Amino acid sequence: MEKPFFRVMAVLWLFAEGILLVAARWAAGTVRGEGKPQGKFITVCLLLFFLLAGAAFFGETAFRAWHPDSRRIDLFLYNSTLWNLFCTAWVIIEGLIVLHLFHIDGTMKGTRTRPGSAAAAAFLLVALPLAFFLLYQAQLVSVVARYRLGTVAASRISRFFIRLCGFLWIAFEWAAALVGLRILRRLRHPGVTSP
Amino acid sequence: MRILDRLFLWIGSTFTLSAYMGSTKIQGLLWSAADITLALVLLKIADEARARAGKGRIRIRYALIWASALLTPLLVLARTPVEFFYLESVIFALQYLVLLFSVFTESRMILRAIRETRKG
Repeated sequence: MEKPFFRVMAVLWLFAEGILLVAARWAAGTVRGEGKPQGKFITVCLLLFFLLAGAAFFGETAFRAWHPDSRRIDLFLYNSTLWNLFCTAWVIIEGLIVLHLFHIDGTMKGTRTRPGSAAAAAFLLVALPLAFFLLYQAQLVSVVARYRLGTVAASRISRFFIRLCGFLWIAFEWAAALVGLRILRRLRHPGVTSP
Repeated sequence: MRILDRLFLWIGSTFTLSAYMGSTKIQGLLWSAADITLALVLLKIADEARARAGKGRIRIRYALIWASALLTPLLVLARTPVEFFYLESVIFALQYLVLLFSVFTESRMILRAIRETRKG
C-alpha cells in the first residue's frame, strides 16, 4: 500500500463492497418476510471499516513511531499484512453476498434455509478466509525471519497471497452472477422450476 | 526443512514480477468479465421490475457497462503493476458505480417484483 492512490482505491472498494453486502442482507431478509434489523450489523461493519481505513491511511506513520528502529523489511511486512487483510476482507464480503443471493433464490424457489445452517455457512465464510490469512502471514513472517529473506522474496510470497484471494473473489463474483441469472429466470418465468 | 517452508521459499524464488503480471492480467480479465456479467444481470432484473411498474428501460447504465467492457482488453497492455492498477481502477469504477446506483435506486422495485412473483 505504498502509493496514496492505492490506499484510496482500496478503501473505496471496501466501502462499495460493504454497501452491496448490507443491501444483499437487507434484500434477503425482506424477501423472506423477516425484515431483519440492520442497525447492529451496519454498526459493526462501519466500525471494522473505519479501523481498516484508519490503518490504511495512518497505520504506517504509527508503525514508524512505535518502532523507530524498524528495518525496511519490518515496514514491508506491516504493509503486506495490511494489504493482504484488505484482500481477505474482499473475499469474506463477496462470499457473504453470494450467500444472501442464494437465500433470495431459495426463497423464490420455495425452499427455506434453516437458520442454523445459514448461520454456520456465514460463520465458515468469515472464519476460513480469516484463518487462512492469519496462518499465511504468520508463516510469511516466520520464513522471512528464519531464512533472512529480503524484500524481493518476501514481496513475491505476499503477492502470491493476493493472487490466491483474487481467484477466490472472482469465483464468488461468477457465483453471484449465476445466482442472479437464476433469479432473473424465476422473475421472467414464475411457473418454471429451476434446478 | 518443513514442507511449508520449502513451499514458501519456492514461491519466493519463482513468483517473479513477470509471473505476477501474467497472472494479474488473466485475473483482471476474468474479474472484469464476472463484474460485467453481474452488472448486466442486475440491470436485466431491474428492467424486468421496471417493466412491471410501467417505467421505461435503462439505457445509460448499459452504456457504461459496455464502455467498461471495451476498456477491459487494454488490461493486457499494462506493463507494470501500477499501470495495471490505474486502468483497473477506471474499469471497476464504472462497474461499481452502476452496481451501487442500481442497488440504491432499484432495490425496492426489484423486491416488490420478487414478492409479486412468489405470490403469483
